[in-house]
Amino acid sequence: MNAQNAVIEDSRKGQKNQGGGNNAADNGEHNWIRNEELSLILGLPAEVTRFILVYASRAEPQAELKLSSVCRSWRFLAFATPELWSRISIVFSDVTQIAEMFYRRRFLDYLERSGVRPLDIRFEIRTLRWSNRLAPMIADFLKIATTHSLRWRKLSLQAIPPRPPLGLHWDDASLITMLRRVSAPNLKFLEVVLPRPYHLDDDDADFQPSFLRQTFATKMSAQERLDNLLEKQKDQEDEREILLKELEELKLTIARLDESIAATKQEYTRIYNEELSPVHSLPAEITHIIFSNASSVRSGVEIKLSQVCRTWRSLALASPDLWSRIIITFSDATQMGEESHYRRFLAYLARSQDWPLNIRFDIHPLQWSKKLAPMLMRFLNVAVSHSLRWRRLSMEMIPPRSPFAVDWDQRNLLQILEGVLAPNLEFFEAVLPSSFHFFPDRNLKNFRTFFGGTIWRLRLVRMDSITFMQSTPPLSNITTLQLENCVMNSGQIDFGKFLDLLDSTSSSLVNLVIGSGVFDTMYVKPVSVHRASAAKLKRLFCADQSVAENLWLMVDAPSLELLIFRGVWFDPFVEFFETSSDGRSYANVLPSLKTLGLIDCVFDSPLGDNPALPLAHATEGIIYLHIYGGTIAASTERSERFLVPKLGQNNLATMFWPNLQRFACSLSEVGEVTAEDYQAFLHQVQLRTKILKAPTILQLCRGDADQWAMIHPESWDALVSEGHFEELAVEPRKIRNNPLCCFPWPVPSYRELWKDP
Amino acid sequence: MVILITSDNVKYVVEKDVAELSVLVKNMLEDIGPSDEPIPLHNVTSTVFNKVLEYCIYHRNDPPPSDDDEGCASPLHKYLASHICSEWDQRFFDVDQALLFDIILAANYLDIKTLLDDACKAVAHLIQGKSTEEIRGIFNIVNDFTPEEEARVKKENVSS
Repeated sequence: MNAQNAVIEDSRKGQKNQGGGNNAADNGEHNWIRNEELSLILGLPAEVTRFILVYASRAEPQAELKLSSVCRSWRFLAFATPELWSRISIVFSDVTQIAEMFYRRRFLDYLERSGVRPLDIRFEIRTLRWSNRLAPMIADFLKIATTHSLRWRKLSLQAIPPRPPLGLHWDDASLITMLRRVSAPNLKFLEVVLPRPYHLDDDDADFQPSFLRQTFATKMSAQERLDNLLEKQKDQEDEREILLKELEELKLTIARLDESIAATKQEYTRIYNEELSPVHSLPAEITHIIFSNASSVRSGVEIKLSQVCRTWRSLALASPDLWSRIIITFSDATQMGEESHYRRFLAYLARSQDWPLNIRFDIHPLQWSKKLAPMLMRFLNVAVSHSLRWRRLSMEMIPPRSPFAVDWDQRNLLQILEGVLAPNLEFFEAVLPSSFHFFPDRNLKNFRTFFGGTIWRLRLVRMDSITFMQSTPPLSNITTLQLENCVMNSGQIDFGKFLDLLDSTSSSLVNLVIGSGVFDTMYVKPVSVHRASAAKLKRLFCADQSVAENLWLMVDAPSLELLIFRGVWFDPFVEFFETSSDGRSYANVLPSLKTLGLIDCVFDSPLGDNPALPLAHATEGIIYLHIYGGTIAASTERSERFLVPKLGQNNLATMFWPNLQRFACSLSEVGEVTAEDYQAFLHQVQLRTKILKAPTILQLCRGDADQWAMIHPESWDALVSEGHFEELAVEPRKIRNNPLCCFPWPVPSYRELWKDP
Repeated sequence: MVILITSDNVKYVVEKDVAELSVLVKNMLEDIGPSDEPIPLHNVTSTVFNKVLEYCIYHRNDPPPSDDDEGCASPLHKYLASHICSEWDQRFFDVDQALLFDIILAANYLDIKTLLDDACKAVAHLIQGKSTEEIRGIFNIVNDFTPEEEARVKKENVSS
């Protein structure tokens, strides 16, 4: 049983003893029980209710009287709480005898109930009616109060009577005398407000214009007052000091609590993540594999992974390989100045530790800015300081339109690489076209000056719009070389010298991409004098007309398996495929050729022969033919327009590409295809299958297939049912953007490699 | 035929070439020699092993991964290979996360590299293109960074 209930129980017993079972008592009992059952506040412990009562009593004067009238339990509690009754305020608003009795009774009750608590007593005269009884009455109350003077803490006497009738006067001498005799050691505050005695002269020093206001302090000496003030100040300072200490302790406690809360939260999340997040059940090495996979496709994934939770962050930061692929992409010159990009670059370099670096600068500013060069230099200089770790360096910096007479050529950036040691560099890409017409760069005479001649591992090089007057990269290590020229007239490499390199026994070149306008074939040696042998060359992509014209004449490529022409016009007046002076058949020039690709090529024949005939003879060993883009034969025969692998006289001897197994084409790009064309296709495929006794497969894009099925369903059904159709997964548009995507070209372009999916 | 027993005592009779896709099983078979003795798989339940077996049977005739000639630079080739995932594989890995992670653990235990790689790719696929918050949501991870730490690590995300 708590304290409040004990008090209540005691009071209930007392009530029963007094009332003896009458109706009022029964009602009281009923309400008591009701309160006990229904009032939540009465369920509080007595000490708590006491606090409530004390606080409530401070809100308004004499609230204790009201509170003690609420209910029995509160009444008993109030009476048992001396603190409630230690502030006594008697306001004399009436001077009758009855009123005096009432005031006296209340005063005595308060004095009794307050027990031994320090007293705050206040007397105030508020009556408007003069009475001769007023002064004796005040004196009487004061006398009663003096019996408790040891408990006085505050005493306030505001004895200002109404104006007396003529001839009478207020005599407060007895009050002052009484106060002077009292011993009140605990009195902290005394206020006495008395009317001006009539007997004082106007010249009296204590004279005040209306009332004489005397306080206890005014009766002290100045030194005592100062001492009191000093003491008070000291008390206040001590209290302040104590509060400050408490505040410090509270701050420390709060800080400890914050730490504790954070630790609890950490523990919660740790257990939650470990127990409820299945992904955390995986061993770290497997999570690392997942991270590597996730970050291999899209740049910046490693940052997101490191922000998921503490465990993943620790793992990500402890995986240098995740940070070894650095892509700096800007489309706005002003972005370059942002320190955050630079800091991120430094962070990647630091986190990648000693891991081989793959760095790509992908700079496509839309607007010209003078800041561009210094900004790029800043990044490159930092990158150069890690050149020993370079595995891949890619710089694709497409210039913005610069103002006239601004002659900065971003290819000067290449000069930074001169003498830089990069012994681990395997892939190098530089696409640095100039924004203006220029002559071959005098400063870039020799590729070999790059990297201090230390590029022993370099095996894949792509250069676009870079002109070396007399040299190309050494081919002794390089297995893949892409030379392109996205800006026309930016200079040309001597094709003859290139062939010399290609012919070298040390040439390792396997994949070669030759863009348009890269080589100058004007001074190539005659075929009878020299014929280059590219012994290891397996794949060749040629988009250069003059190189294509000289290919059969000047190059032996016994290992070539894949040959792709783009934008080549097979001009009937050029001796593409004529018998060479040494009498060799050009079909034997490329004995290993298995796949031929023709993109946007044009065949012409002035003699009415099938225009593709010479090429078909020269590449007769192929098993896979790709025809994309606007490739077309300028033939009068409609079936020949589409370069259908035609059977000459319905016999094997006149058959184009007799070993052909698959034929992929994008019909929709050539032009309108009629029902007769589809029939012709089907006829040729069926005929080849019949004669060769092996199915010829026609590969079409989904769009072309749907078109065929719609325009000529009969031939389409036959094509499908006889097993001659396969769907080509690549769309024509994609082929146009990236011609190599549908060929068995083993090395993806850099853009392909770094792209976001 | 090889007899395999999972941790919940379910017995499987598996063709040897399928079972030997697991390097662990292959090594154990070599250790015990010709025998009909069942091989216990302590860390794999039958539920998970059913999936593992399904994968092994489907991929039993796949050529082992090998490096091509010089032109097919292996890291690049691996890159391409890492992004080629057949429709069958996509369907196979379209399971709830708990099972997916159990498959990974089983592949790790049984030492089936292709399954481990493919399963890891499947998980990586869940991550790709997602924001940090989405990643947390997908894997039921609670953000356990303090606000100060979070503010600091978020600064790294600039321009990425």
